[in-house]
Amino acid sequence: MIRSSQPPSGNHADFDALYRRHSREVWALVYARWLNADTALDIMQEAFLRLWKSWEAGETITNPRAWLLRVARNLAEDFGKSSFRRNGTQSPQTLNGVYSREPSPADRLEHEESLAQLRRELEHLSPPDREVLTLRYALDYNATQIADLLAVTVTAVHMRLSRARQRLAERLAAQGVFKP
Amino acid sequence: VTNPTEGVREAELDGLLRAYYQAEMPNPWPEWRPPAARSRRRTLTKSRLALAASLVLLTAGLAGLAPRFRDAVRTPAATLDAPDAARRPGKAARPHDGVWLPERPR
Repeated sequence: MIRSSQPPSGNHADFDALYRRHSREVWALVYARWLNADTALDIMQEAFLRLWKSWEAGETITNPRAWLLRVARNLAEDFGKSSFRRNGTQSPQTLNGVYSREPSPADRLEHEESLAQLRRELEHLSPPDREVLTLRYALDYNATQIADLLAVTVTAVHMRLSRARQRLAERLAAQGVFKP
Repeated sequence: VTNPTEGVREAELDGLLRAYYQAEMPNPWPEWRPPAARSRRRTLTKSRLALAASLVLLTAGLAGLAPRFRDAVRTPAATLDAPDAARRPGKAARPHDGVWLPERPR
């Protein structure tokens, strides 16, 4: 429970610990939404900045983790709306392909191609499926941890994970990423 | 019975997903830096300085203008004896109407 009226000096360490504990989770959820590491980082930091300001203002936040995740989700949705307005008729998901990484050296070309293909296939999955995959593979969370974070059952996590992996495997095989 | 090819494919998919997400995660992970501590103090100092400057200007203005008002010629005003002396039409207000003036020495 965060409850403080004088945070800047006395509780700085507490906030820092909170950041270290939850920032990756927040990043992962936003990343799962937009598949853009920089956007996810910006939104994650904005969420923590808002929590800091609320803390400074002396507001009582009983569950900072849930608060952060809710704020980050809202910010991610707002980002979608604003980027849609900015980009005109193109949907943000279509434009995500624009933010691809730098071209790789020749010796890593095949690996990079596989990753690029994987990224394209991830865009076809639903955000809830991507959330489970991101938490599983980016943060190495197990099903119980994912279920706790997303407030769903462990069975639901297993189902989503299995479904997402199955779809990815099929699509990647069809693209020739996996050897027959 | 698990198909060996499926097992290889699953392991390959696991490796690919892990590699992908590890490559996407920021490294090193950014530290938290409280943004408002310094700027808030600066803003507070600025507003205090602005308040002090306003008070100085107000005091100086009052001190400069007060003597002028003190020396100004007093205009006739209404009294209980002649309530509308100053406003009566056709009759010029006399200097002593409603106002106490010291007698001039003869």
